[in-house]
Amino acid sequence: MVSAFQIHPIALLFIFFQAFMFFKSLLGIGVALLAAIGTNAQSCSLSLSGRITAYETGEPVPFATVVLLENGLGVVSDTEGNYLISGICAGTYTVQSRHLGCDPMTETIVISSSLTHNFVHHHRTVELAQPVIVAYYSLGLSSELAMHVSPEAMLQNRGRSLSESLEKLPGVRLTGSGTNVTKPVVQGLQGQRLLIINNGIRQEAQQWGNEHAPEIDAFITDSPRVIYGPAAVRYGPNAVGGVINIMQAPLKYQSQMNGSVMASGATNGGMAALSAKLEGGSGWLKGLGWRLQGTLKGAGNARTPDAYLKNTAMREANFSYTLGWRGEKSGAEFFYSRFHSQFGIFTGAHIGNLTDLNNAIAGVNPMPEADLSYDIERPRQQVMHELTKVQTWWAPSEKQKLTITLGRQFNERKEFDLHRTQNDDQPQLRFGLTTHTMDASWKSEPRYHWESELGVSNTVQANTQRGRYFIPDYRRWGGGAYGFLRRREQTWEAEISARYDVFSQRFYRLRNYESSEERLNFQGIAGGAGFGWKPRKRFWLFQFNTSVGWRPPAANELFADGVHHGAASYERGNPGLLSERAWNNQLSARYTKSEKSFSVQFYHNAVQDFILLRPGSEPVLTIVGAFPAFAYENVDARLSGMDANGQWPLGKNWRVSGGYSILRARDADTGEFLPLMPADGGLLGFVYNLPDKRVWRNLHFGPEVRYQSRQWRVRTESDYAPAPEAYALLNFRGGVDIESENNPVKVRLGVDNVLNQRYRDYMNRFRYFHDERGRNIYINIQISF
Amino acid sequence: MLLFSALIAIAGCKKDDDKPDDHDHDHNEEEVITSLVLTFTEVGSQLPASFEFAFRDPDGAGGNSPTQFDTITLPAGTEWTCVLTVLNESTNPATDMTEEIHHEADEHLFCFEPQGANVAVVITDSDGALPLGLESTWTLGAAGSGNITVKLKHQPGVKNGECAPGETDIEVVFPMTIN
Repeated sequence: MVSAFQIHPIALLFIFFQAFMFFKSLLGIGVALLAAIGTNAQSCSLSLSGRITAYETGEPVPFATVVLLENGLGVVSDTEGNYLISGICAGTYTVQSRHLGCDPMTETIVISSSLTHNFVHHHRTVELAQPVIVAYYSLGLSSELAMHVSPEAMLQNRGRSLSESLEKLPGVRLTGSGTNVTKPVVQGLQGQRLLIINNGIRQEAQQWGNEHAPEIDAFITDSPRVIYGPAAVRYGPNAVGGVINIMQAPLKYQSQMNGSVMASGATNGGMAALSAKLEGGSGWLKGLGWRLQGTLKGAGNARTPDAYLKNTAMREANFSYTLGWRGEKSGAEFFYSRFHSQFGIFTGAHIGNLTDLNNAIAGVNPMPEADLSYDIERPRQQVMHELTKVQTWWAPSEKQKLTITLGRQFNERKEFDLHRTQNDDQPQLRFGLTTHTMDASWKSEPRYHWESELGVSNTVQANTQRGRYFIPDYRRWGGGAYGFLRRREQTWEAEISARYDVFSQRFYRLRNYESSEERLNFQGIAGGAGFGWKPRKRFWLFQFNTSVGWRPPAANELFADGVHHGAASYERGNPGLLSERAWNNQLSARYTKSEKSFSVQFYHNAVQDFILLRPGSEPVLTIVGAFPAFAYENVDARLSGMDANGQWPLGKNWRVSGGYSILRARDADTGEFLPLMPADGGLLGFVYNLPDKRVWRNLHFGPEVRYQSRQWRVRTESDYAPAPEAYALLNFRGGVDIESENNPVKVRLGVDNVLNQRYRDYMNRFRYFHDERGRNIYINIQISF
Repeated sequence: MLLFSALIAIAGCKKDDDKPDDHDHDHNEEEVITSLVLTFTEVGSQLPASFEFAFRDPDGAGGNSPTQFDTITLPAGTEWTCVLTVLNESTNPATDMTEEIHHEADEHLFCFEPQGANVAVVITDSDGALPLGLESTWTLGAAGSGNITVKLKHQPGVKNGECAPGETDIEVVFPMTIN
């Protein structure tokens, strides 16, 4: 039975491949004919040049592709948006300008002498895919090391969590607990060491917990961004590993009402999601823009190749609205969003002590029986996150801008244990975190070619906890100031930045009806220098970034004191912990020419006083048995690694893309490897693109193989089971855009784990208890109107 | 700006009613088990005498070490009935949780696993179908010493009379001396 299932997809792939090789040969003949028509005997020394700018901002659009469709001559615009195509023969041409996030623009131009022609690009609500294979992209010349997830990759991954949609970025991996909780890991660092910016506001939630995923609707953004290292001082400290920036597309002040509906379905767990967006400007009040957005998502029990996982259903309901006004020299925006999720925790992962954990690892008890159920039972979690933002700006001149942003967030997390108390509706653990933030920045007129920005920020936070003791209640006050200078030239860009922050935190501990109070202060400096160099007329971009960052210890690292169920360990906080200080160096080289691109990035992150949970000597004796004790300590850590990625056309219709990541993370004092670091791994994918037709565009499909090596760089004494074996997964994906004047439709579909393989991942804390998901067939449909 | 302020008001932000420095609120502390007491009475003895052995960790896991952790000492060649008492002594007064276990007898099972000690334990009570273990008979053999592990398993929906399924609520390894 099993083997029949495994052979099927391969056979299908083979049939597809044969069919498309046939199409490919037909196409080749057509192209040759076209080329023959286009060629004539006239002199071919004319040129076409011009500038490409963005309609919304008026700024130049670098790296846009301009192609003469008749002969395939094409170039990529430089950092100033300029392009030049030379060696053109006289004639009539269809010129197409394409850029990620914009509709391709096609114009017919008669070239009899050298011409100048400018393009103004409109960015679309939900972008049309460009080279379909692109999973990520970076901006043109910049001193900042950052990568965007492409709108195409977001479209392909709709229906997944926000963390999962970041996974294909170079250097980004996932960690988590089970099938419903996933968190991003950037160059080996996660949780408190990453700063998540949600629509311009620092996301403040219970991110210290491994079981706590980012509380953000994945449908809210078309192109999330990761900035590597702590260089982005604008956003605050804590970015020891980097910044994840979740942004909405700008409001459409000029346009009429339009929107889109996105529907997703997946077979594994019977997932269904529906998200809709409506936006526009206003006819009666010029400069007004608005947007409404909402998402509903639900899934039943996830399925491994062998069985359903009991109590792994989830539900999510989110909405947001934005209202903005934009005048000549000033503007304002109001944003409100609410995120709700509820999910079960795999019943078999609920353990009482070390014996139970060892039994679970050894598979002593059979897996709890389950089928495809949408019921969520105990143990379960319920999370709510609310964000309100008001932003105003005033720009007295083109280059000057004052921005003030106010934010309020409320995060509420309820955890319901398997054991009931008298009241069935009561959670055993409830966290409430209220955060108010104020940020102000001033961008001033460039002086001596240097543009500058200064900013201040302020945070006031209150955390409360009810139920079983885990972390203390606290109040936290934070203040900071930053400044940066940037110089942008034709071929290079440089930036230097600095930031100072101070936090004052008062902890209120209550254990066994005894309360104690403690006040701790932390302060630190962050900053760095970045340099980007793009030699003229070459397709290379070189970037170097050196920066320092820091983060104060989190509440759990200072004051945890209790059994960490699930991990079957006793965790002890350390009120004497020092702040972590990181010195991060990044060096990257990127090559981009039309659809060919290649990038390699090296990093070395030296973290002084890295906060690590280390095994202690004496086990802690409790009535449930003895638990191994772990305590938080400051150690010196070194993380270095490399991420290489590329994509290349193979002939006219095939494209290959791939990437590989390497990371080494050690405790510099003892030489031991740090726990919970992703092992080396990579991706190799092929895509076949059919030529566009009147009714459909972008028809593509192809296989993808993901390889993950075994993480043998672990400290065996602090883990209960050896790291899982290496694995390679076969996925399949494809899609098509159906063109229509009024309602373009995009369809993306795929199969994950085509061969329904059993595997476990080192980075998933539930690897002790169950295999990862089996085969999953999914479809995402987007209709714009 | 007026419009915006109005909108903030309309937005109806959810409030966190609790203040970190306010400790007067209802705490809903979890019902923890802190103590296990074994009370032994000799079978067929004319004397009403009984022995008590216990594990007590009144401040729960961590914090202070257990305040009482007895070695079970009983004479060789005798037979005893054993009654278990489960307490939460982190509260004042202490909460007796034995009744709750009785109440949910079909979800609970005590297991007794001797290692090296010459003792045979037979559970004498039941949930109506399967053994429970709050009451048992201990038959002691020759003199010697070893350990006996007393476990309480929470087995909602999976109780089958075996010790393996479910989650462990209590696991104490008592040293044991038979003299």
